[in-house]
Amino acid sequence: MLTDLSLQDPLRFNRRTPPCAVVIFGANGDLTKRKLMPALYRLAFEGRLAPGFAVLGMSRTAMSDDDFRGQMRTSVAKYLEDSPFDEDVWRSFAQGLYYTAGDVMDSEAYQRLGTRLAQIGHERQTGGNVLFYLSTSPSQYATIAEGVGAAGLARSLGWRRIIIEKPFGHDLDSAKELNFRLQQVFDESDIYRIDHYLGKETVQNILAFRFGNGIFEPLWNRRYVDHVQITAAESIGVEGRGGYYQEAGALRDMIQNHLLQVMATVAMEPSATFSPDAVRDERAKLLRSIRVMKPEEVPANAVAGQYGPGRVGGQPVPGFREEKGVDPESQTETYVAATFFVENWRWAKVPFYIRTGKHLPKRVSEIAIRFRSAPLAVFRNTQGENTETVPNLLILRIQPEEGISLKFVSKRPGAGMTLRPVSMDFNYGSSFGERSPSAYETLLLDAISGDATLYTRQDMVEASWTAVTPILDYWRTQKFAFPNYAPGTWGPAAADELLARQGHQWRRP
Amino acid sequence: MTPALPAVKPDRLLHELAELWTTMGKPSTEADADAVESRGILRACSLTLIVITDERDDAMALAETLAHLMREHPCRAIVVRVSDAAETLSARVFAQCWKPFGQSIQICCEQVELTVSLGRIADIPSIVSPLAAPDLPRVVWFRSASVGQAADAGALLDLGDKLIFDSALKGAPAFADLRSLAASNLIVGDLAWTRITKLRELIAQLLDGHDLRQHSEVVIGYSGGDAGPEARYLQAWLRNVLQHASVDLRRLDAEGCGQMKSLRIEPDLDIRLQSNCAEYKSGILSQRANFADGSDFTLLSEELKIMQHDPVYERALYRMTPWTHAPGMQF
Repeated sequence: MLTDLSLQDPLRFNRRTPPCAVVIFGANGDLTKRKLMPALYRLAFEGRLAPGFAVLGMSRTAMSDDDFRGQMRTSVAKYLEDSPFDEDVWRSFAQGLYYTAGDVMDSEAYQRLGTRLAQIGHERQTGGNVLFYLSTSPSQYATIAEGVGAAGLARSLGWRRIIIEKPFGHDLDSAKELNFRLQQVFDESDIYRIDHYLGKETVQNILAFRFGNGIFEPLWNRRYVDHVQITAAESIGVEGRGGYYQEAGALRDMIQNHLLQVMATVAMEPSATFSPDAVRDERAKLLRSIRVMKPEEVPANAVAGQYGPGRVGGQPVPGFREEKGVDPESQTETYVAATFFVENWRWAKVPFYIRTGKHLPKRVSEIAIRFRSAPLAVFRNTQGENTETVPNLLILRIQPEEGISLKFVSKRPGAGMTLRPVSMDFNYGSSFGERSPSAYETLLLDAISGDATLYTRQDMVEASWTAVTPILDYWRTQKFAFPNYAPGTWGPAAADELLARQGHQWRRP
Repeated sequence: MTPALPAVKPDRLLHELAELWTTMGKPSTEADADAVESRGILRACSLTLIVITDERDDAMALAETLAHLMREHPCRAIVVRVSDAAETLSARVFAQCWKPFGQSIQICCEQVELTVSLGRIADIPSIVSPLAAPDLPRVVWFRSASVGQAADAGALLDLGDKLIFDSALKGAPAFADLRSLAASNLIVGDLAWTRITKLRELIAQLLDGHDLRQHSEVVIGYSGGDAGPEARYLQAWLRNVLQHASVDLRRLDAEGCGQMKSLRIEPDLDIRLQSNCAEYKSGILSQRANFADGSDFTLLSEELKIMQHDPVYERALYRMTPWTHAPGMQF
């Protein structure tokens, strides 16, 4: 309730953000240059940051504040997407950029960091609020958190939060160990595990679609839904990330985190409120309800693929094993198709098919919900035969051409009852032409404001590792006949067979 | 008796709109026709925007504003051009289309244009009402204030769920009239108020967390003979939120037409205003904040996002000092 003394105008003002300093470990790295700094600049451009906002970059490279500002200016100008670069805004934003060199393995570096933070806090009036952003190798996460804690920087009069990027461990045990070490320094409520997929506007829109409308939720269950397909296809290969990808693989890189989170968003129960913990409780509950496969069930429910050499668009494409940094005998999967079941009353026996892969025909991420067919085909064609019923399909498009489509049948004009599938489209871009914030803008702003709704929590991370662990364990014992799909195709034939066994087939997006 | 003019029939216009879509939606090739998922045109509409404008106003500028606006707020736009000509009543329909970058579909919005003489204003509601998109909000934007002086102008008020005026226009309704409209349960917007959103937001950010009782004096500096509606709105808002402070308007020089130049909030906040930005000093912090341009598009876009009573605006409106360009609209 607004009082006369309130300065706020919620209908017109952007959400308030408190003043703070963001400390970026790995400030000289690619993520900082390509994503974090452009996102922060864009927030400054839109006036979303508090006046005393500051960034303190830290990495091993020796640099002055001015060198850092110059380097960040070049990056922002280069990587800023769909926004103009404004020299005046930059000048003002750059006043709040600072840098300190230091090795994260060196305890003295954290003491220097503390001294610098205190000085910046005074200059910029940040109120002691600090957000630590770990844009480093995952193997350094625990060490950095412990360094911050040992230097007494994890507690102050203001708030202290930490953001880490995926992967959160490389299996269940390492994820638990990482969580344990982080929690020795920070409260779980101050640990923000970023999953940029959840920051996408269209993923958030799934919640609005499901719980902001009254007509869909009654259909959202095993009685009406036949199966769900979640696709995250990339048309490119590993693009210079061969070394990393060889260790990770598609199951760890995409399914364990992003796609299981998307599945949880599609299948979770409505939360009582839209508070961060209420929403995350429901997501976590869903992830815990995913049926854990027995080893002998893995072959029938999960398919691994790896692309070989081929041609796409008239150009030769090297196979995964020919990529730089990749073992020529690599057994790493660049494609996964898997079937998951959710063991609760709403979804019992409804298959959730998830697939992701590199070098597929197009870049597309979508969720397709296939409804059960009409129970009786009452329409007959001109020969007097029943026409086949066509199941309704609801497609939630995450990217590109974000939106929602509903496929249903309609009578073809003219004599006779001939039916034809048609599509009713909602296009995000046409109804809301305004620019959507990037996932990093949304997530950074949320972390600064203390809103963890779109971040993953320890129990969610562990539940999703639990869901994929049997597949990882089983695959470790196998020798695959890789490569098994050509670039520019929809993956190995075994993926089609996976669905065919259930009488289903993959949608071609 | 009014002489007979060719009638403008809403049914006919609706039929033309339907035909427009049928024609545009026809596949251009046989391959398109065969493709089940063929995507040609997407019809987009989230509200009806009725624009009342003077025929003498810059038609190109309005077309540009609407074209931009439709990308953010796809709507059925009904532009009513009020003409000085003795007897005029005509209409045409067309579509505004664009293809978002990198997408395969073309997005189109409908537009209806009516030209009507001042003496025929009473005919507008019966034409425009049936043309409004069903079940969607209707907004009337009085882009020109001159129509308000026509005898039957009051009939236009029933066309919208929300009415948008601009107090900075000559002939705009007085604040007292806006208050009456708001009190009669209509949603009222004033672009003069919209122009100060970013400044108010900056002030709110800078004073956030302060004990507001420490601010005892506020001075809003302006240039020109009389403070404009924006300065007066800001004064009213500050009086509401800083109840322990005196909030005064101070003329800084004689040049100009009442635009705000500066703001001082005791004890330590100084803001210097330029056209699209503000430079401020608060304690040891000295920075610059960029404001969006004050184009019709930016202002309208903000107003179209608010389709409910705006309590902060209405409270400021009730605090406004009497001020108006004379003569005001006759609503």
